[in-house]
Amino acid sequence: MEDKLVIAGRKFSSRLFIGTARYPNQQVMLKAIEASGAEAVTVAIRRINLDQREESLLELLKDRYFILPNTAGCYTAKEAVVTAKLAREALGVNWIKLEVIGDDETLYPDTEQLLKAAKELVDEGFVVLPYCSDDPVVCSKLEKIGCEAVMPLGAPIGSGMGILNPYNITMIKQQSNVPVIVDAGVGTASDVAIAMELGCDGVLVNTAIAKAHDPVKMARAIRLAVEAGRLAYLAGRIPKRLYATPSSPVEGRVRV
Amino acid sequence: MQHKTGAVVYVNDKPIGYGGESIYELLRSLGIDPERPGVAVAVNAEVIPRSEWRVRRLGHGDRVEVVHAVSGG
Repeated sequence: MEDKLVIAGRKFSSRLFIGTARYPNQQVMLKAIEASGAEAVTVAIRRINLDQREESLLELLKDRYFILPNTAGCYTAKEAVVTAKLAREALGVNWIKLEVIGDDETLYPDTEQLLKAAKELVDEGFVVLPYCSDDPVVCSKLEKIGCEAVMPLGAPIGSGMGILNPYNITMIKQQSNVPVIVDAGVGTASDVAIAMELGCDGVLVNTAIAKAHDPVKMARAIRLAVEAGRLAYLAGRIPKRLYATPSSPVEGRVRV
Repeated sequence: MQHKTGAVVYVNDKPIGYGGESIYELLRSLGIDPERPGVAVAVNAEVIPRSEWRVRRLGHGDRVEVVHAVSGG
């Protein structure tokens, strides 16, 4: 049976979503995205610099990848909704990775504003993928509002601390009827494998790849970790037990 | 095209003398190719579809956001 990630009826060839920020340069970014095997890449929406011409990121990516705009940098529902609408107009896509940040230092989501923005955008016909806290109640509310996936954080954005609360992620996965994509907090390949082994439908990675010593190599490592973790989840792991169970037969042991 | 009305609009917070141009003309005068894909415009927090750029005029003090996609996570 085919095992593909499907969000809002759209099938993705990879369960890995890649951010396009913080790479040493654009060439490394493009190579890393290619090595990651990701189909979906995220971009931010920002003012055009009127004093200095910039290269168009869109031109580099648009023919090769599914471009998922975010509302990073928004602190209110109003900012996020306007940014999402600008993204839709600029990119011709009604998908939005919705971020409404509540605090500069933790970059934790402002759940009150997030729920408000999610409702407005769903009503406007957007496919809303909200970056949210790893809180089962919040994820359930976002799903009820009509979000097509939930994107709980594993740890604070860019922290590289991994999946800090695997029990919450497990609960979120068990209760959700929409895909669960872990967004933020991944530090290295094993973190991704853990998220996938917990049953998550995908992961979004940016800093862990972009800021690795060798981003292209890390992109490949994370691609393999997504695959390994997914396979392990589908294979069904053994239960954890405190005491040992011998693997070799107990009968017929040599007695001297 | 310039009517010397003394009107000012704010494009990405930068005050720009405004002579009654359409959004399309305004973008061009700012060195932004209005035909380039990937650009979006909002006036006073209302997104203006590309199809209206040639007809839509601005008012004194209007706040214009001109955006595009950049690297992001």
